[in-house]
Amino acid sequence: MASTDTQAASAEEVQVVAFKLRSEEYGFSILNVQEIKGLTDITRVPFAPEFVKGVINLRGSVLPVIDLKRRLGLEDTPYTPNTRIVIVKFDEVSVGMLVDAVTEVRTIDSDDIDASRAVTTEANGKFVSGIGKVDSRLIILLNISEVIGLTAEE
Amino acid sequence: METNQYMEMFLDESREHLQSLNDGLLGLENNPEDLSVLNEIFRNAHTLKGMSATMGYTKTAELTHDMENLLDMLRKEQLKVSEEIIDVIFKCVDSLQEMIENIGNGDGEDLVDVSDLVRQVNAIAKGESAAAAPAEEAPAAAATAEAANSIQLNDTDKKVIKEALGAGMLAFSVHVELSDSCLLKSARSYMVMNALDELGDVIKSVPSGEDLEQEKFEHSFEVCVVTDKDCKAVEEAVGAISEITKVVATEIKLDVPAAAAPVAAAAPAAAPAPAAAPAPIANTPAKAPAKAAPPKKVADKPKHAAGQSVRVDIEKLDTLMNLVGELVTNKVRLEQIGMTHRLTELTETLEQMDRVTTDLQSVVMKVRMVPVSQVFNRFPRMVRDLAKELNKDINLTIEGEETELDRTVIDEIGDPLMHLLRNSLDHGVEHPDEREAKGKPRTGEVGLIARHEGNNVVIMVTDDGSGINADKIRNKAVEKGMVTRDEADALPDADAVRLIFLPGFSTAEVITDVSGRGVGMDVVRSKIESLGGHVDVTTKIDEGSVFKIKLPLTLAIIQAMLVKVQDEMYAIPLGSIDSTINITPNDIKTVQNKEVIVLRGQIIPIVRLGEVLSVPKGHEQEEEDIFVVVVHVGDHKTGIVVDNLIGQQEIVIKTLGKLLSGLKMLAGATVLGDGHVAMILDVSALM
Repeated sequence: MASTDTQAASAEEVQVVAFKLRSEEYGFSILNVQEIKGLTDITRVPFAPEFVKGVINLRGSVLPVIDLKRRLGLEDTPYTPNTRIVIVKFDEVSVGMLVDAVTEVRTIDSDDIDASRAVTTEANGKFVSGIGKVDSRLIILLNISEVIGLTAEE
Repeated sequence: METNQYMEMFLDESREHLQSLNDGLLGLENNPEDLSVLNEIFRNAHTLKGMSATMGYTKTAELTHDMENLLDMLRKEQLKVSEEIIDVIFKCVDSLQEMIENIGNGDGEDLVDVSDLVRQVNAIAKGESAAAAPAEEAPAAAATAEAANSIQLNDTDKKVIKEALGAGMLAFSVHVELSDSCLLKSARSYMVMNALDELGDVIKSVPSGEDLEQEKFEHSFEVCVVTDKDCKAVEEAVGAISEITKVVATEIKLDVPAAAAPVAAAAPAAAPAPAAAPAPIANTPAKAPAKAAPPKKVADKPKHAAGQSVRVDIEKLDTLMNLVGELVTNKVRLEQIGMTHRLTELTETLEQMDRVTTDLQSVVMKVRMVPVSQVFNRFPRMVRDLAKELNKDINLTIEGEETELDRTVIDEIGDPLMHLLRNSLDHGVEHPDEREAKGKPRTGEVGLIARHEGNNVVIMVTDDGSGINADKIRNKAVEKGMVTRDEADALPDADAVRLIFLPGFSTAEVITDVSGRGVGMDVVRSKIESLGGHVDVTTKIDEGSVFKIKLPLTLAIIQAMLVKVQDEMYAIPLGSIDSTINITPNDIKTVQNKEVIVLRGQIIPIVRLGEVLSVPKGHEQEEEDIFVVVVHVGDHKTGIVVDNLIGQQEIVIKTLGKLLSGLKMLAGATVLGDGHVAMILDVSALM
């Protein structure tokens, strides 16, 4: 029964995997998240776009890892023990996202999501699909296809 | 037999042809007027005849020949397709199938009696009804088949049995089948013999006791035993032994010939019957020589069983490959653990595992390999058709079609080859009249040759046509604005001809304007290069051209040299490595500000990998020794300066995925034994 409830409610609720980049909180829709991995060795890829940190070995397959802070134009911070790689999948393409820490899986009521982009800058505005308000916190929801996708166009 | 190495192929192909014969006949039955089906059947029969004649199986060839005659008459409408005729042909096919299987089993083709069938076929061909031909072959065939595995008794044996029977004992022929999974066949057969010995006297076994001990039999054998127990007791005694799937004891009655049948019936499961055809026990005439028991022969030789191939989705093989790769990676990790903690036991076990994984890897690799004949097969037909269309006499020679290539390469190579062949036919080989005027034979020779060359497979498309006129190519390239006049003139002929591979060179008008080639040559090149290969052309006016395609054996796994630059590891495909050398900084000279070295009198430009790939500088490495990996693409050589050579290793190529596709200088990535990812260099981009 519980699962039915969740499904019925999902029309108005969004489950997100929330994570930190510097002091801000961001989120991906849980439907796109495959798994969360601790930091492993990342191999630099020459000539790759600047925001691609490199590639990792995920159980035998080679996966690109995007430095999300660099992608969103945020300032770099060193790795910490909390640094994680969030593996997301969009359109059959799996990509790792380097984040500072994964905080929680959160259900956000769609009423609490502000679609306005007023607060975002023009440069990174396309990456943001909305801002979720949870208690007193703000979770910036990211548009995965844009975060991954641009490289394909280049 | 020298032809032995072709046996497997012969059998496979024969089965294939027989299968299509069967299908064709079925089609013909439903649609007797369809000439195309008839032609197809005829072709199959003809090929079969040729193959069996080549292999020296005259009887098979003869029967096929007679059948072919019949088919030919049908084809020429000298005879009408009737049910009777189709039936007879079906019977021929069945007999042929039997013969082929016998050949596969290591028995000769002679075991199937086809004389009646041949008579029938010839009778029909002469316009008589097959019914007029004497003796149906079916019962005969059945008899020979059923008699298989039964025991051939000689005079002495019979005497013993007779005596035993006289003493009120019974004689049994016991047919024993072991389970397929039985590993200790000799032990089981020994137990059977023991059990039977306890019941009475074992007179004879087929195969002989010695052969049973040496496991020289498949899964069944026959024992002849005299005992005072009844049939059931014998079966129970043997059946109590484990791993025995079937026991049939049949009473032997020497004086009643009809008793032969049950003995034969004891082996119904032994299909396809080796058809050794010894006379059934009961009516064995005294003269039947007890020559080496035929069923034993079957056991001696490897069976070429039918239906051994399976079609598998290539993706499944890829997955398998990935899993094997992971297994190897994990094994290496375990090895490291064993080393650091000095666990001898673990290390020893891992050595065993190492052997298994290596075998596993090579098996998976082999599974992916298919002979190029799969692609080549379709060309003779195409060449014939095209030659007709172009009004040219062309003789296509195919060589080395057994050369094996990775499945993925095979799938991709067809179109480029077709392009090249079409070009050779269209633009290479001249019209017969023109050839005659040049003093060449009217028939043009076009060759399609595959062979191994080191770690590569080379496929060549050759022709003895007009060759490519370098000047015309130069002009065309200048006209197209691809090179300047000066550049074009500076090019030696060999290089000028290579201009045809440049994109944009080949357009529709080029085909007609230039007497050389040009149809989609850039497409050919990019296709080949996407497969990790390389295409080149050499040509001589009026003598012909040779297009040479060099392909890696496989796309999945290659031999590579691992090199280190600062802290980064890179893999260079061994196929493109010429040599590795050790130089000192003094050996590096400059020519027009470009660094070069002199190797064996040749000036070779060098690139510093660290700079080219902008590897972050961790530590300055000003050593006396500089490692240079000399790589080549075609005739061009370049030296790659690296910090360290790690060693040669087999690597599994992984793509970098959509996100990172098309990065220059990288051909992919690989996961190393320690789980790290290393980039594979695209050598041609470094030049």
